[in-house]
Amino acid sequence: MHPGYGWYFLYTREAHPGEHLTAHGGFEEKLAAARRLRDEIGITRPILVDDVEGTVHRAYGLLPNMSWVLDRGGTIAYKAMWTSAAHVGEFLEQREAAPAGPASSTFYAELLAPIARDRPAFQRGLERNGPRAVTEFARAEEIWAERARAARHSS
Amino acid sequence: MSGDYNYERFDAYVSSGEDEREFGAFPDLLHAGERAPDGELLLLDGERVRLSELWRRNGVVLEFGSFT
Repeated sequence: MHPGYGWYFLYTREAHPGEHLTAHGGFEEKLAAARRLRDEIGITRPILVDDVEGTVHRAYGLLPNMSWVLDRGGTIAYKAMWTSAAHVGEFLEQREAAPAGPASSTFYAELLAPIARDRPAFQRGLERNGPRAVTEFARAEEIWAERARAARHSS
Repeated sequence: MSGDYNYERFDAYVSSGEDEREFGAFPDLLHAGERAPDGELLLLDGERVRLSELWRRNGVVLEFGSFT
């Protein structure tokens, strides 16, 4: 689809551990979880597994669902806090459509990109991980709401 | 260290403020046009690879994630 780019899924720590999917206690556990991810979710992109300390994840900022595009040679071309496969795909199409040589160049840009939230699908994911994942996320939402209230009061 | 990285409880991770710190630091960490950090990973059911080997011949899309 994008012949100039290899698209990889980089497996990190589990964002929402639960009874059926615990935090990784070691590299073998992490590998087993990565295989389950491939087989149960049906990820067809090649999966890269980070070490159990998250060395590469740490180097790229530790966010749970970020996307990066690295040009041939290792220059960062795209950095996003959240993954939108459609947004990355459009970006790659633009890069691949650009004529080679002096007829085109690049410019630095920043933006706030829109993303659709599929809350029901996310909820099903939490439930798959286990009841604990559901209640802990609900508690986290209360913490976020409290933070937002505090920020409104202080501004 | 790995105990902190592989947190067991998401609510405890959030109440520690770690999520805010990570999301807050992200915009200032690495930018388009800069060199990407290299590192070694295991291709699932394959061999160990360095990112620099992957980007030698082709561009690379890295989509980070877990089950959720």
